[in-house]
Amino acid sequence: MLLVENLSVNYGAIQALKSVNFEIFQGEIVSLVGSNGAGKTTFLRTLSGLVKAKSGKIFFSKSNISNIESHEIVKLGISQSPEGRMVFPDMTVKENLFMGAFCTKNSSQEIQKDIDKMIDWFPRLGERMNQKSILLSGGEQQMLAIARALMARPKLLLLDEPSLGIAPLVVQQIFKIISELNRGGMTILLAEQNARLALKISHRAYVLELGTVIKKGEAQSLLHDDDVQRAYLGG
Amino acid sequence: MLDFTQAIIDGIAIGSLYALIAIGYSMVFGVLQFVNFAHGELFMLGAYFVMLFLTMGAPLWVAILFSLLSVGTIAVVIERIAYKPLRKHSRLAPLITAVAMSLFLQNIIQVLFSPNSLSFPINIPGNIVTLGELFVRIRDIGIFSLTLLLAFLLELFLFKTKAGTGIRALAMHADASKLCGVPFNRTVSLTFFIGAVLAVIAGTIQGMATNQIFPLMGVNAGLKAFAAAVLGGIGEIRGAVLGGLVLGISESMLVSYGLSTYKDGFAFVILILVLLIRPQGILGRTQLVKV
Ligand SMILES: Nc1ncnc2c1ncn2[C@@H]1O[C@H](COP(=O)(O)OP(=O)(O)OP(=O)(O)O)[C@@H](O)[C@H]1O
Ligand SMILES: [Mg+2]
Repeated sequence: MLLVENLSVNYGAIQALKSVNFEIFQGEIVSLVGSNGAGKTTFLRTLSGLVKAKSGKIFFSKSNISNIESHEIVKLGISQSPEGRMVFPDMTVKENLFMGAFCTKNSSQEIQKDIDKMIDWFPRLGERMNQKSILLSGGEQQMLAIARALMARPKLLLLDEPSLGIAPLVVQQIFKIISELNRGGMTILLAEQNARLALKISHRAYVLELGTVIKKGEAQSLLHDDDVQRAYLGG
Repeated sequence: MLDFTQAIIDGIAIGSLYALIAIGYSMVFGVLQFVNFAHGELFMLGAYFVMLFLTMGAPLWVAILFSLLSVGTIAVVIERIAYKPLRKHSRLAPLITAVAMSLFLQNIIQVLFSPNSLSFPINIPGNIVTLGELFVRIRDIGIFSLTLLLAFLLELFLFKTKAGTGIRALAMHADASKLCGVPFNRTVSLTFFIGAVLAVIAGTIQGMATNQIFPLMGVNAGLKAFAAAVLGGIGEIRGAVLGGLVLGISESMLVSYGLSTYKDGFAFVILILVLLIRPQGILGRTQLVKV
């Protein structure tokens, strides 16, 4: 579904990604693990067109999207819940969800139906529908960011560190929902520092270090890989 | 008390013009965190274009409509060719370019028309009615009402239409808006266009009320409207309107208390005080302000 070839990204003199090759198939959850500054966010931002690649190609459903602008990429079916959540602070939860459907041509009724689905996935959001999103807790904002990304009815969902700064119990809930979304047919790319959590729910994974893919494979085997255990799973 | 009330009444017309111009500064700042120092010149250009179309024989409403479209387009083109290419590289470069652009526009009008002021072909008479002991210009009430109406229509547009919602989303979080599918360049252009439209309306009113226009008329008005935008809370539409009215009325009070010498400097006193004491302005929120 998504194929990335030799992707390199620079910030001025800093090489954030060095010739990364990556692939995700329909129906998979693939995680991208790596520590601080490994380049996970850069990778996801490049896929969404927020950062321009220095070289390399990105194919989505066989078409080259390397030079396409962000707002067109969402329309093609790649939606992202970004690092730091980025909810629209002065908009209510409902307005944020409506923003998620901005790229679609859905009618208000269709959007409302999708919102009802989001409330099924994330009941906590239902209770907060008319609150300004800045007033939500971190966990609720994370749920909102994921729900907002889903409102675009994506084919591929990108999630950047959904566990960041959230209480462990809520993280468990969110990961359970991610897993269920995938069982419902959603293809998901999950970038996470918390490798154990990510590997547990993923089919396959890539390990990123200083902008380079140093390992890839079945999530289960990486979970038991000695190097990965030492570096990312605390022994 | 009578002087005080009279000063308020005398200040609302000029305050309304500041407000209309300030909205443009404010909206552009909201989406790009950039102060378009050439914005005052759009006000001036608006008046000149209306005059031009009027002398070509167009009826007033056609002249205004064409001026809105022309100056709106000029504002969009300036953004595309002069500011956009510099945006990636630094925050200072577009600011300096904007100052240069404002000088360029002033000079081109001096060359094409005249460095002196020209008389505006249409004028709204300043009939005065008395309300008890107060004197009210009917024209001023009209200008004030029109300003409130335009501000209201703008809010309606921003909250009820998809394009308007895109502008708000972009102002709140540019990256998030892109991820939701808001077309960045088109939305920025739209913002410049709307700001220009309001500046043109203000310029036309100024021309019709004072009966004269001159190439540097945008300098003072622009700087004061910028001060008004900062005073009200830059990035906030309602703040811009409030800031414009407060500034216009304050100036008129200085005049009525015999301090007219300080009138034109007062905007800068306000600007400095606001930046020192409450940089987010009256209605602004802290996180939005990065002046
Ligand atoms: N806007 C930027 N300008 C300059 N350098 C940047 C920028 N964003 C990221 N970097 C650098 O690029 C590298 C990769 O950063 P990135 O944010 O992609 O890593 P990450 O894996 O997402 O890290 P984290 O787990 O902390 O979120 C780092 O060295 C970082 O300092
Ligand atoms: Mg990151």
